Amino acid sequence: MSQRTDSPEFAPGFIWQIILLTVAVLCFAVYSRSQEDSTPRMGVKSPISIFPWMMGGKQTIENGLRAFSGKPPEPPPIDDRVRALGPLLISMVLCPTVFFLEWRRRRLAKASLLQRTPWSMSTAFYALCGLVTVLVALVVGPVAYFGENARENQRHAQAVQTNRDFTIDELNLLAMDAAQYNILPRQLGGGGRSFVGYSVPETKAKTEEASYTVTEIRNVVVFRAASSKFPLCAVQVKVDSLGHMRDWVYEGEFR
Amino acid sequence: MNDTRTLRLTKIDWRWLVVTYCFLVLFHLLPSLLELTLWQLLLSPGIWRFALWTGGGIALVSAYVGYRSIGVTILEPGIASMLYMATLIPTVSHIRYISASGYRLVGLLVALLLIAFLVGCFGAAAGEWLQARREKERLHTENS
Repeated sequence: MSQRTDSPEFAPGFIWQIILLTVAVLCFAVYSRSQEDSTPRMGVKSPISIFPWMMGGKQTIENGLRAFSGKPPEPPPIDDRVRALGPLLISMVLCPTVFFLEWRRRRLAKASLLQRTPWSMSTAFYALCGLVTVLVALVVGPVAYFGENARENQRHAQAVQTNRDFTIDELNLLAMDAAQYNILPRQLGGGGRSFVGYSVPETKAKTEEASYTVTEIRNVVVFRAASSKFPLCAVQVKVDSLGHMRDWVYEGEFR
Repeated sequence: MNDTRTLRLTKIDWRWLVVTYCFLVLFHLLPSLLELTLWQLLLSPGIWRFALWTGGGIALVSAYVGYRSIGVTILEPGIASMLYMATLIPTVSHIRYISASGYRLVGLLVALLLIAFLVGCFGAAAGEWLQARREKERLHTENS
């Protein structure tokens, strides 16, 4: 069967070549979809993508899950490496190289896509490489920015949470200290069933995590912890004579 | 002249039909698969993301085909767009997550195919309009 087309719009054999390429792309699409749908290894999915940090993220999560199960981290399997490296080489090396070389050749030959030259496989390949190059150039910046922004937010949230946890730990110690003061008789330096005269010990008043003050003393003592790392964050808690803590109030990002 | 153009509308050029379908797969589906992360980042999943992504791609590719082809090529991109939509639905769409079944699902599928056809035709018509305008400008420049 002749592959020649008698149309001035297409080069000979172009239609069969582009059909074959289309079938290959469709196979890739079905494979990519089946990868996305298949049962993931250790609960992590990773669709085929030109962005290697997706694979990196998947590996990090897998290592985290392994560490949680008490297993040592293992290097990524070879198919994951191929899936990360393959699209990366195609989209960031092959496509831009082909596109810019062909673009230069066309510039030198004073030709352009808009001229009515017949469609050939090289034209289609050039257009495809150009499209991928432009899309990658447009996308990489925003994706990197949003990704870094999300990571920064996550790091900040984790730092706030850690500070909050340490502050609560220190407040627990202060609650015990206040209860001890309440129980001890006056002769031994205590309050004799009262919080009157109680103050935060100097060594515990200011730590790396927060500054602690007593704001109210009646039948309960109210502690206020102002974070040293995040100035707008604070915790307030009431401690009764038995050392029970209640009525927690969180301010700022501690909420 | 007008009669010829009208006649060409009903005569389908199978080569442009096949090529438009291939262009849609190569210049829309393939970059979309590669740029999956961006789509997930910018648009929440659902029928709107699918419609926007598919409609935009079909319109652009059909417009290019309409502009580039010799003569009037409107039905071919329309039919190719419908076939492309029929390919997309089982392969990459999230249609199975939509809570529709029975007649509603069939109605939705038919509507999607019709919309693809219309968007393809409109895109191609826009391309043809641009082609005619360029041709007019060229003739005007040559005459003057």
